Order: sequence, then C-alpha cells, then structure tokens
Amino acid sequence: MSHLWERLAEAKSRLAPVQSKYRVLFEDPSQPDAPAAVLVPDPNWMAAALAGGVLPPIDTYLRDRDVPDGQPKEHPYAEPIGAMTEEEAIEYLIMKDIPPAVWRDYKGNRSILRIVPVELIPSDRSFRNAWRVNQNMELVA
Amino acid sequence: MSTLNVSNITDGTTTVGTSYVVNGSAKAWVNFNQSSSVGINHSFNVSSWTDGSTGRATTNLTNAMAASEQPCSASATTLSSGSTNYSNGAYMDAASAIKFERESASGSAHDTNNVSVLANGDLA
Repeated sequence: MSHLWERLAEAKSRLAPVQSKYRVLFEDPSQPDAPAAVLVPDPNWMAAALAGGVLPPIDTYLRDRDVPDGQPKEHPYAEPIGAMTEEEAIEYLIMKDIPPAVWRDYKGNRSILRIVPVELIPSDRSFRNAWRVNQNMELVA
Repeated sequence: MSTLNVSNITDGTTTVGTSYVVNGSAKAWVNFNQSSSVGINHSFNVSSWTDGSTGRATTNLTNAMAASEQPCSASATTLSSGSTNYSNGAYMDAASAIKFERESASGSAHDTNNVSVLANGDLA
C-alpha cells in the first residue's frame, strides 16, 4: 500500500477540485476572548474524500494526537477508506482539524460549533475580530 | 500509476540521488484569500484552512510532517495603498498545522489576498 502523500499526489492529478458549499464556524472555549473561527474545506481534499480510496480512517488521526511530537504516526500508512458524502466529509474534517475541546469536550450552554452554507459567512470583514457564533442560528459581527 | 524505481537521476553530466529530489520538494503548499472572498485557490496536502481572525490563519495538513520543527514559509504582498508596509510570517504550531500571521510595523493585524504558504522537510 502506498504512503498517504503519494496517494494525495496521484489523486490531485486525477480528480477535479470540489469547492464545498459548507463552512464550519466555531469558538474555542480555551480562548474565550477570541472571535469565531471559520474552517474552509480544501477543494482537493474534498475531491479525495468524495472519491474514496485516498484518505485514512479518522480514528488514525485521533490516535496520532496522543503520539509525542517527532514519533512515528499511524495515519500515513493506514489503509484508505471508501467514498464519503460531503456531509460525512465535513464531519470527518471537524474531528480532524478542530480541537476536541470544541466538538467533544465542551459542556457549556453556548452553541460554539455550527456547519453553515458558504453564503452565511459575512463578506464584510470590517469587524472580523468581533465575530461570534450567534445563538439565533446566524453569525453576526 | 506507473512507478520509476531509481536511486539516481542524471542529465548526462550531473548526477544526483533521487533522495535529494524527494527530500527537497515542498511537502505541502496552499494559496488562499483572507479577505471578502475567503477561500483556497490552489493547494496540495492540505485538508482545510482556518480563518482565525484578522491577519491570522491556520493551514491544516492531510499528511502531517514528521515533527513540529519543520521549515515552513509564507508570502504575500507587503505593500498597501497607503504608507503602511506589512510583514508576513509562518510557523508550524504542530506537525499538521501551519500558522500564518500578517501585521503592520505597528503591530496591527491585516487581511490580504493571494497568500502562499509552503512546508518543507520530512513527512510523518
């Protein structure tokens, strides 16, 4: 089985990029004064996720979080998984790229993570550092 | 996919080991906008990009680097339409995350288009 990096190179040569119609808004409870962050799925990664046969299982990334820096990691050598839907891919991405403190461990009352259509992200960045996840299902500045 | 299994590459005069080529190539790269049209333009080995705040962003890698002390760099225009110049910087926050920062000389964070981030070094 090939290394993940080699599979990514092969997939990029074969698959057209897919721009996701979703963004993920989140607030990090460990940084209460920080504004809401916006996670943008990568188009080449999304194409690989939808095609299947490229990306490793998400649990390999989760186990690799506990591997000390500089030690061998599991995810580059894991058997690739099959095709995902876009919604499944976003869920995978949340677990991979957003701290577990946001999507797993948070017990507070505020809603701090939300998947939204691209159109709901404000294009006016004048007050970017005041963005919060609105508790009425909208992001406001 | 075909595979060439060779230990050296030559042009007839100069010969280099293929390990130099592999080790010297960029392991991840991305070009993104952090302005009104937030998004990724071009990339390789990137799973997502996080817009953290004005002038602050994180590039998340699909295949992590071997360790967090790997070389990386970022570039974007340093010019503004006024008298302010900007500096851009990048560092690896973890083996799979590259932080990007852009500020003026006075320390004010600033957004811009056409930011490029590269990572070199060893893969996990």
